[in-house]
Amino acid sequence: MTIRGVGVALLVIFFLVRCDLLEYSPNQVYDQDTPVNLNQKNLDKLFATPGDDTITIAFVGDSQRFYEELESFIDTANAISSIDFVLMAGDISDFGLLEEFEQIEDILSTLNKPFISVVGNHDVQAKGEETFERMFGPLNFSFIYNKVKFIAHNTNGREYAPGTIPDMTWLRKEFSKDDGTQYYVPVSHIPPFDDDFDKDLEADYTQLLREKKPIISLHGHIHEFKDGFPYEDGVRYMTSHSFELQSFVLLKIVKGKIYHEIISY
Amino acid sequence: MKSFRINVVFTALLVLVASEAFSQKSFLKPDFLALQHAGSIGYLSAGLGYDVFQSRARMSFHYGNVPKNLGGNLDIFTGKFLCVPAVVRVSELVIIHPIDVGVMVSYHTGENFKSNVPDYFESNYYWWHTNLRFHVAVEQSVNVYFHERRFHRMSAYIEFNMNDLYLVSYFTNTSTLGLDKLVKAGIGTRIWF
Repeated sequence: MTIRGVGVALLVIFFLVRCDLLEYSPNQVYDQDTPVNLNQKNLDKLFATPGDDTITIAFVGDSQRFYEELESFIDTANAISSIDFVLMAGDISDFGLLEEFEQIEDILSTLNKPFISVVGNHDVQAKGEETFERMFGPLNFSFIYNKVKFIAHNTNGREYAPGTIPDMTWLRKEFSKDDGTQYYVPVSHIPPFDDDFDKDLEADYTQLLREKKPIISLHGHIHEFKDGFPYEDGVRYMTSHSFELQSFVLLKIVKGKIYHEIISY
Repeated sequence: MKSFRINVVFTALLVLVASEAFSQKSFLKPDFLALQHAGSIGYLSAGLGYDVFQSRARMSFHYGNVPKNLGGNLDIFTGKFLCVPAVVRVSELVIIHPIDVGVMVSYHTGENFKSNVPDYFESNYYWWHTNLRFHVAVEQSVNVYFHERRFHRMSAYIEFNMNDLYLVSYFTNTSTLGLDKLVKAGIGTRIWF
């Protein structure tokens, strides 16, 4: 092979590597430029901004494969300056593939506010759970913002052995910590009243919420906005529209009171 | 790294078996050995293949691995079938394939990958199989011939592919998703004996 031939070959390889074209498998957990720990990085951003009495959240449902709608959402959300953060209620991806998570993150990076992501049942397909965990962080996590404790957790029970998910031990611990919390807001993908919630744990889960009296319990999965008291036990559950409905819930929390409006885009 | 070592051992074995097979004249005797980097079928993969339809097409079978420290661990078995619609003869010994086109089926093994979902999900809840991917592929190659040698032809190729799930994502979001992000590439070499 001539020197010119070697030069051309090296240039081609350089181009392939630079453009992220050399995929080892669609199921690989990460590649050379996959972001890590996005939830913590976004929480750092959130805590760096001065809060006030009102927490304003863009509460959005499933983004799975609705890339065009996600772009429209971002234009709308960026124009609402009062939004403190965007809360994604799971099913970020459709197939649990790295490329999907990276595309979504690429679009979300144009948001001018922090975004926090909760894991959905589609996100844990194939190697998706490992991908999600590395890219966004733990599947169960909590944070306190202006005295409200958001308890984000995995409720995709049918993807795991019966009786294991949601992790009731972890949840009880989070609800019991003496951390100056005034109000609780549990957040997860599948609501307990849905068929995809582990029915072995539904009674335990709803009993815990009944005891701890969260101001609201937030979920995705069912792709449409619902708001009510399905167990008639004083616990309020709300789900958000998925992206194909081109609407989201603008949620305000003021001294433990919930206000909401539906914003279409 | 254990799986990476297994991959290297597997490749060496493949070469050995192939070499042994080449000395025999048999219908099953493969025509070429392929080694590939990336291309959605492993960080490294090795395969054996056949020229078919008077060398207007070829089929090959590959095993590839992605080691844990590169986003795995993944074991992948792949079948490829590519047609050769045109060749460009640069000289007596050098032939370029400007655009071979075809399909690939890749199979991921391991507990994360399933061909069906449990009965309690209604049919089509997850309509795709996580272990099986179907790809379309386009390849370009430079082929050099070495007459009267045991290894009588060698090629260097670059192959582009897109899998079924990326295609579905693309066609439902054509204005947002660029093909440049969803088309993936691999490079490799084939040796004919």
